[in-house]
Amino acid sequence: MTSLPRSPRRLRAGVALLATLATGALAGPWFAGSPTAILDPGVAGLLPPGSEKAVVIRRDGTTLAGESLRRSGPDWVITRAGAEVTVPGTDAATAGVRRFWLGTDTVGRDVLARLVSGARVSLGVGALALAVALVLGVGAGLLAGWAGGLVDAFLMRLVDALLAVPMLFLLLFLAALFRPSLAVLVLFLGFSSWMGVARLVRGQVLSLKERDFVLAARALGASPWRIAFRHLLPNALTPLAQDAALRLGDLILVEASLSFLGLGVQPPAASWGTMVAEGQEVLANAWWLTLLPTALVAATVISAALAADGLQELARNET
Amino acid sequence: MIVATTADVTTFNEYQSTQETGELDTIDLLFPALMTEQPDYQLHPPSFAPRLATSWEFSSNNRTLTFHLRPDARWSDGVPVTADDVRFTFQAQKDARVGSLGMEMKDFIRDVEVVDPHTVRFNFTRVYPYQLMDANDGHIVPAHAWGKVPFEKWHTTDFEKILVTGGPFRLAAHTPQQTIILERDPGYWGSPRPNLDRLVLRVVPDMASQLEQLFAGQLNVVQAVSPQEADRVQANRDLNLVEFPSRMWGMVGWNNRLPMFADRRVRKALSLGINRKSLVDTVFRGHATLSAGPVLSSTWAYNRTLPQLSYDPVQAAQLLAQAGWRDSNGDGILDRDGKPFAFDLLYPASNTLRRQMALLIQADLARLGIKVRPIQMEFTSLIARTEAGDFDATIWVWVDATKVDLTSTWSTPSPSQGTNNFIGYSNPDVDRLIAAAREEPDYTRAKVLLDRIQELIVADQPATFLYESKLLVATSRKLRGADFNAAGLFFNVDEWYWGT
Amino acid sequence: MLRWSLHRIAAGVALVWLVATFTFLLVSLAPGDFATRLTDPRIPPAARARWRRDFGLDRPLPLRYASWLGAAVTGDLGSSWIYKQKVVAMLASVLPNTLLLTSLGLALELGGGVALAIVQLRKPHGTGDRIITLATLAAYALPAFGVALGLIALLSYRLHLFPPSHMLSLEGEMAHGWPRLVDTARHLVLPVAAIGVTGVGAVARYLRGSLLDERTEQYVLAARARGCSQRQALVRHALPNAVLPLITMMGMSLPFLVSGSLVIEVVFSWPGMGQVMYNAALGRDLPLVLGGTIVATVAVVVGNLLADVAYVVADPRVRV
Repeated sequence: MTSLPRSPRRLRAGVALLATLATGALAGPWFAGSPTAILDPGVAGLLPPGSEKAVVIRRDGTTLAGESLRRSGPDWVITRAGAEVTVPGTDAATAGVRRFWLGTDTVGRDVLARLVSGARVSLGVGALALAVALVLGVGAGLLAGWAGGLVDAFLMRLVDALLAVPMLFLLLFLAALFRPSLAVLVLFLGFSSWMGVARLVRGQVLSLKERDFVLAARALGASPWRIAFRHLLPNALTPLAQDAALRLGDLILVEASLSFLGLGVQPPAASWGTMVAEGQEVLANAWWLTLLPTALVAATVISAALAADGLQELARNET
Repeated sequence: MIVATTADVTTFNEYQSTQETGELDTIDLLFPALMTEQPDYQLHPPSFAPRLATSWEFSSNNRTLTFHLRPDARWSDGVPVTADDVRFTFQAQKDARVGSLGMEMKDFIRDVEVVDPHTVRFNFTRVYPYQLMDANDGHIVPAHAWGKVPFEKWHTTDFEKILVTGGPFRLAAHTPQQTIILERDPGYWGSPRPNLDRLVLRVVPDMASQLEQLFAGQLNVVQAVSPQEADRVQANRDLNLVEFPSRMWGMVGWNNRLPMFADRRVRKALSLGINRKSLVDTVFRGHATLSAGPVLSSTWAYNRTLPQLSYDPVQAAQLLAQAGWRDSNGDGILDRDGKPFAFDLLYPASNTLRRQMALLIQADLARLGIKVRPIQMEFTSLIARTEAGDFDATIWVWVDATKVDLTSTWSTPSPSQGTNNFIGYSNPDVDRLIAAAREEPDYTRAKVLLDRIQELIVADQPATFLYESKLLVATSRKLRGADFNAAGLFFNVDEWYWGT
Repeated sequence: MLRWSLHRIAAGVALVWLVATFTFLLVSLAPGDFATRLTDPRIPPAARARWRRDFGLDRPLPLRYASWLGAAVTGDLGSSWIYKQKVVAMLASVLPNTLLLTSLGLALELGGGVALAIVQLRKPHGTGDRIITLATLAAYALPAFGVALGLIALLSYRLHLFPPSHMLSLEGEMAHGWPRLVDTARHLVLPVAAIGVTGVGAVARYLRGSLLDERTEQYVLAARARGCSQRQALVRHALPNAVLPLITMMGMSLPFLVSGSLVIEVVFSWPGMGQVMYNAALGRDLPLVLGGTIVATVAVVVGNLLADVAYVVADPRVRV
C-alpha cells in the first residue's frame, strides 16, 4: 500500500467527528443532568442558552426556580418572580444555582441534557435503521442487477410499488397493530428506506456487469458471490457511501414524523428529531430549540459524509 | 382586510360540509340567516337579533313560530329572497339524501309553510326552550339557483359553480388552497352596510408563518394565537391582541369501564393529585381558567356553587389507599392485586399544549406513585380508538355549542344512538335529570335540574376537568370597530373599518 | 426494443392496479374513517352513523372496491369526500403547481451540481475544490425546512426581496396574462431555491466522486494519451459513465416531481399535491388518496422506465 498524502485527512476528520458524537452520546448522560426532569415551567421555561437560575427541589418532587437563593437558618429562601418563598430545610432535597448552558425548553427541561440523551436514541436508531436499509437494499440491488431477467423485473416492480404507496397509511396501519418500541421503530425506519439503496446498487451493478474486469473474473470462473463482494461492491461504493451519509440524516429526522404517528420515541424521552419538531412550534421565541438539534443532525451527516469521502479516496487509491 | 385561515373552504354549501375548519364563519359572510344569535348566553339562553327576519312571534300554544321577512332582501343575482327560499332550505336540512350534519336540529320541526312571499311559519311537534335556536340553525340558501340540483346529488356537486349569495359580501375570486377574495355586495340589503370593500381570506396552513406574516404586515387578522406567542404580539406596537372567553374546554377522560378507574375514589384522587391550577397557569400563561365541571362557567347554565377541587396530594394518597392501592413491592409504584397502577395517556401529536399537559400530569401523578405513559397519536386514529373504547385515558378538548344539552356527552351510552360519552360514564340519576332538563320548556326550572346534574357529575369525577381556554385574536392596530367574541370571528364585520 | 417497451408498459399498468388495490385496503383498514373526525359536540352522534352510510362506508369492503374499480377504469375517479370536487379536476388543478416547483428545483439541482463538479475537477484538491466541497457539504447536510426558513427570514422578511409564501399575491390573483406570470415567477424564487440548494450539494458530490473514480480508468488515460484535454476526456468519456448513478437519482426523483414535498409546501403555503394528499390522508378521503396514489405510481413507473432507457443510451453495454 503506497502512502496516501491527502485522503486520510478527510477520513480522519470524519471519523473523529463521529467518534466525538458517539462518545458524547455514551458518556454524556453521566455529566449532563436529567433530560426528563421538568423544572418549574412558569419561571424556568424557554430560557436562552447560558442562563442561570436558582433551583430548589423539594422532597416530594416539586421544583421551584427563581432569580436568587439565600439561606435563612436551616431554611432556604428563594426569590421567585418577585416574591420570596421559604422552603424549610427538612423539605428541601437539593438547593443551589444551576447554569443552563444550552437553555431550557417549554417545560423547563435542560436542553444540553436532552441533546445528550437524545444523541443515544438518534444516533443509535439512525445507525441501526441505516444498517437495515443497507442490508435490504444492497441485497436486493445486487440480486436484481446480477440476476437480471425475471428476478430483476420482480424486485424492481416491488420497489416501485413500495415507493408509490402512501407511506403514511402503511405506517398508520402498522402503528395500530404494534405498540411503540425501539425495535419496531428501527425496523420501520429501515424498511421505509431501503428502496432507494436497492435502485442505486442495481444501477451500478448493471453498468459494472459488462466491464472488462468483471468479464475477466467470470472467465476465470469466479463465483457470483466473489464477484459481487470483491469487484462489484467496492466499485459501487462511491454513490452508495454518499447516499448512506445523507440517508442517515434523513432517517434521524424522519424518526420525528414517526413519533407524530405514535411509533417513535414517546415523551418524555428525547431524540433529536422530536426536539426539532417541538422546537418549531416556538421558533420565533426560542430559536435555539430548533437550531441546536438541527446543527447536531447536520454535524452527524457531515461527519458521515467526510468519512465516506475518505473511504472512497482510500478505495480509489488502492485500486 | 386580510384574514389568515389555516385551511381553505371545502365547499360553500354548508349542507355538504363537514364543518371542520371554520367554514361556517366564511359562509356567514355570504349567506343570510333568519336571525343573528347574540353572544349573551351568560345569563340566559342566547337572544336573537333580526337579520333576514324583521320580527317573529310564537302562537299562543308556542307550537307555531312565524317569521316576517324583510321585503327588500335580495340574492346577489337580484332575485328577491322569499319565504320559498326558507322552505327550500328546510327541506334540504331535513332530507336524508342531503344528509346535512345539522339534520337532527330540525327533529322537532314538523314542517315549514309559506304564508306569503315574506311570511313563513314553522310548525313544531313540541314545546321546548330551544325552538328559536333550532329554527334559526343553518343559513338560507337560494331555491332558484340550487333547487335545480336534485337532493341525491348534493353530496357530489360542486356548488361553487352555481354560487349565488345573499350576504354582506359576495365571492370575487377563489384560488383553491390559496385565497378567497370577497367583495362588498353592492346590492346588500342589510344595515349597516360593510365599510370594507374587500375581505380576503388567505390560507396559511402554518401558524408560525401566520404570525410572521402578521408582523410583516402581510396579514391583518390572525385567530387562535397560541398563549406562548401572546406576549410577543402584545409587545408589538403595530398590533392589537384581543382576548375573550371561548367555548373550548379540556378534560382528562378516564375510561370508566376499566377496573383501574371504576372506583370514584380513585378518580377523585387523580383529580386531587394533579396540580390543575399550576398546569393551567404554566401551559396557558394566564390565558385560560380552571374548569370545575361539565358546563362552561361562562354560560347561564353553570352552577356557581360548584366546589373547586384544590391540589391536595395528601388526601389523594389517602383515597388511593382506601381503594386498595399500596406499594407492596417497594418499587415506587402503587399496585393492587399484583397489578401496578400504570396506564397510557393518549393525546394528539399535532397539539403542543396537550403535550405539555401530558408531561405535567405525568410528573404530578408520579409523585403519588402512579406511572403515566404519555403516548402521542395521529388525531384520527386517536378518535377511532376512543370511540371504540380502546384506551386508558386521554386528554380531550370540547368546543361546546350555545345550546346546553348534556345528553350525548354524559348520559349512559346507548348503542343504537351513537354517543359522545366515550369514557363510559353511567349514573342513572344523572340520566333521569338530563332527560328531564331536556324536556323542560322553562329555562329557569331547567337550571335547577342542571345545577343538580353538575353537582352529581362533579362528585363522581368521571373525568378530571382541567381548563376553559380563552381565544386570542391578533390584529393590526389599524383595524377598528371589531367586536371579537365567541359568537364568531366576523360577528360584526359590517362595522369593521380601517383607522389610522 | 418495441417488445420490451410494451412489456414494461403492461407491467406498469399492472403495477398501478396493484398499488391502487393495496392502498384501498390500507386506507380501509387503517384506524378511523372519513366520519371519525366529526366529533364536534354540536353534531349528534347519530349524524356520524348517517354520514358513514351516505359515503358507503358501511358496505362490505369487496363491494366498495368493486364499484370504485368499475368507475376508475372508465376514467371516473369519483369526487373527493372532503372537497366535493371531482378527483380528476382537483388533481389537475393542483398538480401543475407542484410540477412547476419541483421541476425547476430539480433543474437547478442538476444544472448547478454538474457545473460545480466540473469546476471542482479543474484542479482536484485545490483551494477551489476544497471550498466548494465544504459549501456543498454544508448545504447537503442541512434539512430542507431549515434552508427554507432561513431563506424566508433573510430574503423576505429582512431584505424584502421576494414574497414569503403563496403562489400569487393578491394583485396577481386578480390579474391575467403577463403580470400574473411575473408575479408567479417572483413567488417561485424562494421555494425553488430552497429545493435546489439542498439538492445541489448531493449532485455535485456524487458527480465529483464518480468523475474522480473514472479519471484513473484506463479508457480515460487512453484518451489523454491520444491528445484529449483533461476536460474533454472527462466530459466526453468519463461523464457518461459517471452519470449512471445520477440517472438513478433523477429517475428516483420523478415521484418527488409529482408528489412534491410536504414540508416545502407547508412552509411556503404552496398549493401543491403534497399538502392536498396529506390532508386527504389525515381526513381519510379515500377517492382523493387513491387518485393521488395512482398519479404517484404512474410517475414511479415512468421514472423507472426512463432511467432504464437512459442507462442503455449512456452505456450501450448495459442490458436491462
